[in-house]
Amino acid sequence: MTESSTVPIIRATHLGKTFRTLRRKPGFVGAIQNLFSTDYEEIKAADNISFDIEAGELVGYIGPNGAGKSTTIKMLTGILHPTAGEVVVDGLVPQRERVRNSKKIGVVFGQRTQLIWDIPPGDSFELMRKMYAIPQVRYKANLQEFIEMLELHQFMTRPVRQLSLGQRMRCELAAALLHDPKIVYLDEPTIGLDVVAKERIREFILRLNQERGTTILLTTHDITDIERLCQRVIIIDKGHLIYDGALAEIKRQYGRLRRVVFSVTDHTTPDSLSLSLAQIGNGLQTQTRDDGSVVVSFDPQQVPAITLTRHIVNNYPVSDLAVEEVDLESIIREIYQQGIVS
Amino acid sequence: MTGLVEGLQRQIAIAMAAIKQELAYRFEFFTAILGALLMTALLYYLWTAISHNSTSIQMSYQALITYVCLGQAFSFARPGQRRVMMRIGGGIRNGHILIDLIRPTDYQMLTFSDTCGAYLMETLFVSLPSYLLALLVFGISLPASSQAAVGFVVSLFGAFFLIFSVDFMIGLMGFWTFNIWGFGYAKIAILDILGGTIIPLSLFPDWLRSIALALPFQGMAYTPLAIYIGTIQGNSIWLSILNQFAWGVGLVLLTRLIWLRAKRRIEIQGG
Amino acid sequence: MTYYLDLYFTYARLVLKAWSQYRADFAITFVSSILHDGATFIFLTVIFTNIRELEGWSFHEMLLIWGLAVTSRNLANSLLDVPHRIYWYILEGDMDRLMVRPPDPLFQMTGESGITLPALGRVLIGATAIVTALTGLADKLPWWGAFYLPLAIISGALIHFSVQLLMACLSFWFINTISLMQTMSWMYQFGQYPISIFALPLQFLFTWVLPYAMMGFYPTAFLLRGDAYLHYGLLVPLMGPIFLGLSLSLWRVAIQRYQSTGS
Repeated sequence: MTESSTVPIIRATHLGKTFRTLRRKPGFVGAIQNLFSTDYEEIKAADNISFDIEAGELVGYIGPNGAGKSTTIKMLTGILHPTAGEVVVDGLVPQRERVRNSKKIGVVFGQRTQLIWDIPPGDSFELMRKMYAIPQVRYKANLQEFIEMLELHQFMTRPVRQLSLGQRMRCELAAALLHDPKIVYLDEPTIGLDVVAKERIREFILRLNQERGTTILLTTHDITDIERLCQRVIIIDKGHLIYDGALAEIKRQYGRLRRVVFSVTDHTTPDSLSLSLAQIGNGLQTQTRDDGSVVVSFDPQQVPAITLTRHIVNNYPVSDLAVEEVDLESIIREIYQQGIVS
Repeated sequence: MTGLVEGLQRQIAIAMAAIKQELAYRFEFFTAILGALLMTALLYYLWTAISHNSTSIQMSYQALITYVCLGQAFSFARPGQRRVMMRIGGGIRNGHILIDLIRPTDYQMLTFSDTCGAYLMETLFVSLPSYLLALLVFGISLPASSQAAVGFVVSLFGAFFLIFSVDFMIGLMGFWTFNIWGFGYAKIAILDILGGTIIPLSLFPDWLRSIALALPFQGMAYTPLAIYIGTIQGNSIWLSILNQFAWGVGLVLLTRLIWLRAKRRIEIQGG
Repeated sequence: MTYYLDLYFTYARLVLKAWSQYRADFAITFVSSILHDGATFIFLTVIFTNIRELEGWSFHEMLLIWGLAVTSRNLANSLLDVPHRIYWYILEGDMDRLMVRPPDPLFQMTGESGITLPALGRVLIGATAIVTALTGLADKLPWWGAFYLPLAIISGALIHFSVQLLMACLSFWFINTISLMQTMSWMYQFGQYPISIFALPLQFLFTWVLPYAMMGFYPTAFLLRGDAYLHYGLLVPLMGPIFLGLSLSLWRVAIQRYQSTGS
């Protein structure tokens, strides 16, 4: 049975999730009232989210905290029922066929462990073997490969609780992949790790995607993760999908921007700055940072750096000044703040 | 002198904070009353049946019923211990205990005041309603005399004091082992028997009674209850209360010793 | 089916291995539960130093009631020690972890709880009580008791598990259930005495709604008083599966709700 290569492996259509929560009244009387109350408020955690993910893609799924990322992921993995729209994962609707869907996916939770705490990881792997009914031969092959790729042999016999976070995370990855899932959801896999450990994990994820063609959906706050791993990013904010496209595209659109960062020795207002700057050219945006410094973003093709800098230095009492490239982090932050990509 | 006043003010503040917290748990009080009521019913019917079937029980039926139902209403064994154990055990588990140790107050006093607030709330919101219900629904008697009433209240303080010490000791066990809940359940069981919560000690066979009377547990339940129904009368009342406080002081010293060892353990292990 | 059995024993082996590292804790819990049961036993004995019979029930009969109740209850607590943990799974977000794996979440929780050894110890205590009681009642026992008692014990264990599961499911709808559950967890004691001593409403409650009486009293009554308790006695082996069905159905509904509300 060959699968059509044009059908995306994950298809989300107008996915939405609205939570109805009781407006809870405090206190004892309130507790009784809560039992009979019909006073609900509705919270739209996700609204009209649609995307297609093809088999073998490595997609970054990012957004500020509370944006609805985990809600969407939960709908994709079958934990939550959507209130609107539908999602189909490899031909199955996860909510309706939880068991079959579970066999095809692997999930790594950055904050929660799926390993049994007090015994060596090898034992937890054994549990996975039984749980997913992995044929002995396949299991051994996978285990061998992962031990090599993730360098697990040093601590396979130590209880999980004695492992460092980085070591544990490597084991978590192995545990989630032993059953050859087609799709892997990684929720903050590099959180809390040191730089070396992060790099190791990233390399592994890349290899996984490239060598085995596993579809990977990565949720992360780490910008370097995104830069290293994702060709495509989906950005969620306030329950809405605000960007879905190649990472390169974002960098191209925003990447050429520069910034002038400087401090003034008197209280020149950003407004007066904006006004005066508007006279030199277009596309200049002024912001004040918390520490009092002023940031002017500009497009060097419209206003040359030298022109802008000279204007600022000549007209304002500047105590120090720097010209920066806009890094990915700031781009993304700005996307979060603005809510839309221009 | 000012140091003492300050210290007292501090303790009161701590107790007040605990009271506020307990007030937030009003639903828990409701379920606690429900639980007490059901247990009272169980024992009421059980002892009624026992009474009917016996010719040799020295206590009058009325006294028996009063004793047992009162015991359930004022059973400090169940509710309060959770708070102490959670405070210490939980404090150890999440490291919170280090914050408490940094505070200028002595840890034992701190826990005591904190528990005072909790016990007070439980008395007001659980014990008193349960007592009233027992009076109305199960027809238990009022105190045997005004002296008995006064003695009962004073002896309740003694009982509370004793129970706190035991709970604190159990909480301290958390420094050496992980799982102190087992101790908690065992304590309830022992208290129920040797403390005379569910069987008045006067009904024990002689050998068991002498054991029970030699231990501090009687002060946690039997003493106040027996005073209330008049089994302990006159001067014996004050003697028994003295016994309670004597054991109380002894236990406090014991817990002090254990506490000092526990503190040393923290310092050595560094949390 | 073999899949589940195999998986269960794999879990059990691993969890046991994990616990073997906490021997001190284990010993303490074990000793504490023995003390607990010992205390109840002393209670029974002391009562019977003051009376000969309780509403027509002798000491050995009472011992049998108690023994059956303890055995059933702790059988459930040792193998199916799950319901009181459900709340923590939800609170700590561990439910999600279970939902993305193939086996049923309840089964996984059962597996992860392992075999609670202290409870297993209490099963032994209960069994000892049963045997002691039976030797004291040897002349009154019907031949079919040998088949009936194991059935009653298994059914009793299922009842205990199911009632707790039913209450645990409530925590999907109401937040404050933990104290309620703790209070209710003492109610099994109503099944350890002849039901006739209680007022009628309570009799009804503990026969049909929270059928703790089916765990200790009714099996004993049927075994020793035969005809008078025929209907109840025959119902005993059925109550377990019935309540299991009820509680599992409620569990399904609870999971559905979890999937709708995510908490």
